Amino acid sequence: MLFFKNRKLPWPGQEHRALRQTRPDQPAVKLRPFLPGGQSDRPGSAHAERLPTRRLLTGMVATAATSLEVACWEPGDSLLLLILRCILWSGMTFAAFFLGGHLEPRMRATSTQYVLLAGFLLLPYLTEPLWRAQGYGYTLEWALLYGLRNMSVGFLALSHVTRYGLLAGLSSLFLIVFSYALSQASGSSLLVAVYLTLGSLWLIGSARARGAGEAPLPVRPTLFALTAVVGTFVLLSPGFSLTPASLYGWMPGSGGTRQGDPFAWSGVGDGDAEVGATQKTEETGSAETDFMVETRQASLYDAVDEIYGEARPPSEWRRKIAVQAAAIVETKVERRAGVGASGRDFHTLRRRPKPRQVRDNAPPRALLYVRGRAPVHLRMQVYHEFDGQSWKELLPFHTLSPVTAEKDNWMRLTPDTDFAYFGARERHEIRIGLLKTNRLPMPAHVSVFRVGKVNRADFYLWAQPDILRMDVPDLPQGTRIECESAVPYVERLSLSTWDGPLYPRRPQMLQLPSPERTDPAIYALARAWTRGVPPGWEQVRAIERHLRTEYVLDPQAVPPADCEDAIAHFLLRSRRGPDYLFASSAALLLRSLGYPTRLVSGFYVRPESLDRTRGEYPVQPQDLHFWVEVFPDTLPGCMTPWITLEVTPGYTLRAPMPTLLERLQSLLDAARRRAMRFAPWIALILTAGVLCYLYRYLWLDRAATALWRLQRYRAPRHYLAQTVRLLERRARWSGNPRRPGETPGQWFHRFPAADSECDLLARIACILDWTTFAPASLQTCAPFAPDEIYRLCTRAGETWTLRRLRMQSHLETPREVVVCHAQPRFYLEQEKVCSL
Amino acid sequence: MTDDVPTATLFSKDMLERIERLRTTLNTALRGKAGVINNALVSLLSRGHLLLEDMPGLGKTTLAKALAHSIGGRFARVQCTPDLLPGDITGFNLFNQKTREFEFMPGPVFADVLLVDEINRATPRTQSALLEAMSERQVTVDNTLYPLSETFFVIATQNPVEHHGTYPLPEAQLDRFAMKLQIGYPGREAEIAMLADAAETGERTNAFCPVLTPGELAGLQRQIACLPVARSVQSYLVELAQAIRTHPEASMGFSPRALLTWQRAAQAHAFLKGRGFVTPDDVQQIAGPVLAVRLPGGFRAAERVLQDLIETVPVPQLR
Repeated sequence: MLFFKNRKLPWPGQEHRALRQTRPDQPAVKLRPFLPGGQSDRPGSAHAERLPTRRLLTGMVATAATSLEVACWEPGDSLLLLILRCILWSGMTFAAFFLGGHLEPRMRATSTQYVLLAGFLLLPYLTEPLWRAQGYGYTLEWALLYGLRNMSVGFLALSHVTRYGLLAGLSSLFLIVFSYALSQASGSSLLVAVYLTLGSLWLIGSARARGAGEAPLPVRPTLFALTAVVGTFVLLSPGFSLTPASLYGWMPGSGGTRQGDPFAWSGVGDGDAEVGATQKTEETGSAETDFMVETRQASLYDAVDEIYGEARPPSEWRRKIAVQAAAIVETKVERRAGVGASGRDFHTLRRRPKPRQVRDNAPPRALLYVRGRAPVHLRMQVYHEFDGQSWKELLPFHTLSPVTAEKDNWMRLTPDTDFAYFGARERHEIRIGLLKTNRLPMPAHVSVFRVGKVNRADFYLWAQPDILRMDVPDLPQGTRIECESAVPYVERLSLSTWDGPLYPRRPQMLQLPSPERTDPAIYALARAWTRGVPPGWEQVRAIERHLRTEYVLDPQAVPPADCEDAIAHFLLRSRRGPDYLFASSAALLLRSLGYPTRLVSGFYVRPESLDRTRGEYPVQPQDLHFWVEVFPDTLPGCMTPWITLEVTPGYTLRAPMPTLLERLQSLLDAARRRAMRFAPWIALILTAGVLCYLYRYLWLDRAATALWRLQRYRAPRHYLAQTVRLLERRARWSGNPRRPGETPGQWFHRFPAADSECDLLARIACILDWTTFAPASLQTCAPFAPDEIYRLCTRAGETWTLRRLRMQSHLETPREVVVCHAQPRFYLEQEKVCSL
Repeated sequence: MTDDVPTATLFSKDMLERIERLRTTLNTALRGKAGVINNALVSLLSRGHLLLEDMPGLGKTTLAKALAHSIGGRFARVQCTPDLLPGDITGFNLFNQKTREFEFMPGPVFADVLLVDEINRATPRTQSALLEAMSERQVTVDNTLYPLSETFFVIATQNPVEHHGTYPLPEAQLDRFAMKLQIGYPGREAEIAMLADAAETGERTNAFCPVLTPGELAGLQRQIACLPVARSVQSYLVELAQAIRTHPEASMGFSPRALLTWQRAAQAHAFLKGRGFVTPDDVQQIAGPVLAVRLPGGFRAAERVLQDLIETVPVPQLR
């Protein structure tokens, strides 16, 4: 075998034939950082030396691509899908790295490459309309970042050319910066830190490769890199939380709000909101006073009437018969009444709500802004007693536990939750927007909370059980409420019916309307739905399942004017209605089975309403929601263990916050389920992938050979060049590449040639030299004919196959070198010698 | 040298055969050192001077004398010592009592081949007497300019081991040499053949038949200097030179004169290969000796630098 690991140049005292001899005892020459200066765009220079910097660059691009995927992920999306996408794009990046390794190291920047890379950039813009037609559109910001990511990967594949390497670094920097600006995930900072570390090493490595050699670390790049790392960490620290939003301002936006275009974000159209300081407390504008004068600051009752329609009082004669005089409540709706006062009712008989006027690109009119995991049910009002037509608000007990103050203005309601019954604690941040209230809209099972810098516990009063209010007329706009809560594992709690005497402390929770005001068919329906179902949660789930599957949510559906029992109309006849009818029906049905229930109104934070630019959920008036809560037997560590039920179709409950182990288990389960579901396809793809990997060089060689055969119809010079290139590729794929700086003549000497084949290679090397370096005046004396070029090249391409080169490379001991002296002979013995 | 060289510059069979005879003669004189002899021929044909650095007794003087005799020119030898004066090399004006005039007594520098033995034992003053002769092939004595032989060829030797009483050659002097060679010990077979020769003839023969005349050599040198060099090969040379200049081990840099010397040496190497044009192979093959004389670290530094250069600077190839 003539392959040898080290190449020695002829040296004084050495034989010329030493070129072709193997010296296995001599280690391979270690490459040192060195690049000639002033040759920044020279193709192929320091190919081997660039490998470490290319690896770092690959890491940078992979980190930036991963960061983009993380930024695209919305809470509620599949985590498994996110991981798969991250793996996919990291894999694509590393594939580009390996592809670049197989590309021609002496490649130059060409106009074709420019067009290709521009196509990568524009591809998301071109495909976006197609996606949008399918209902999966994305904003133009994402299109830009997707295009940048594609282009970064393309640059990386071509990073043998210095210019492309620099552009890959630059585009990945842009990508990571704006991915971070758009991302709401906590892991984004970590990715930025990883990127910065890799980028710093890449900068230093590049500076060293540009001629610093073995000198100590270059001062300026090192200082720059360290400053960038430290500065960015400072900027990313909690004290600089505005950094992402500031960075986002530098990015071209799609414009508009999601009301006009579901795939557009901020930009055009949200100026009023910024001026009116309706989105962020930091924003203050000149129109603030005008804004306060306007009546847009709505009370909860305003919102209720707007969303559900005004209450319709029952006919007078029916009221007098059905309701005790003491129980008659005033049904007058106060337009400007706040929700701080208690004792008000909610009527299930209401008029049809007026259609809402929605302007395109109208400024968002959010009542609240919520950060944290969605969906969230924010309690605002609790109703307990139902007389068949209206729910009566529950008054606070005297025995409610007091609020105790802790450090940092935190207030404690209950002891820490028991993890046997609760998931991990999670934090929500609620900022008051246009809602006029003094109640604290918070989720259930809050253990601690904090309102701004209010540090006195006596400032908080119980408006109702589980509903806190502050001792002020209204909470100021922009008030920030932070709370920590946990979602219980419902199935771990016992739930039993109350067959005996009424629950002594809260009899209203089981109280049913008088038989005169309720259709007995409702109770029969409850028994029918739970027939054969064991008591407890199974019965609750049965009721819930029937309501969610057999009934239709229709906010415009109201009972006819002559109907006096909205629940019976909804359950037995129309089977469609707004959410308060679902909740009221569920409460009534469950009470008829003996389960204590209550009706709760508040706000439902929809996961899909996330405002990505701010990372929060704006709560609109239409997010007003009614739900039902059930009282389990016991819930340790909880003052009022009311469990939220969601019986309205289209609404979901927040699952308990999983622990890390549970998340991993769920991920594995999901992966297993998907794998089982697509097992044949996965097996097929894996098999194809493995086969492609194992025989990758075979396929590549076949493709290259097919292309090479086509070159035969071009000029001899071109065919010769393509033949040498084909041999180079085959040698590289067989693990014995042509070394940097090695001329074809030297390289051919390393081929494991038999004596008969030595002439062929030497002849090709000779022709190559003539074709490449001989002046035009000597071409007439060339010792070969064009036909000979075709013949020799074809023979070489068919003789030195990939299989042969690969088999030779696996030999461990080199055989005797066959020294080929054919090259000089061709010159000396040529027939056509031009005389001087 | 560009591609539009008007004349065909391939060489005649007769000339190539004579060069082969010269090579054979030198191989007989110095056995087992084909590489060194090839490089010495490159230096001779490219009109460059040669510096031999090796241990005593390895054949430096033998090679120089064989080379001088083979090309049929005048041979002179200067044994350098600290008390050697510049006039001892260049010559001096002597007052003739008969003619009452000064007569110029030419020194050994007027030979065709000058062997300067142990050059680093001469003082810098004496060493500098060779500067003008080596670069411009002329000497100036008492304001009178005397041209030297057109084929003037200096072979200097120095001992790398002894340092006492030596004066290292200055950079300006080194840059005037085309190459520095190291002969090294002969191989086993070569030494056996050498001993057999000595046993047969009784003593080492010093008689070599001239293969070339000085005039033929000068003509050959001129033709070789016109050997075409493609633009891509010249770019390759320039890129290599720029890479040397920025290399941390090349503190002396790389002068344009050295670059010209390198190109001429590559032309001569191509000629010795029987090729009528220069390829990157020629550039690489003679790069080591050319660099060795210009790098402070000597042969080992040149080897490292050359390895870097060849691996970092791309070779021009057919596209």
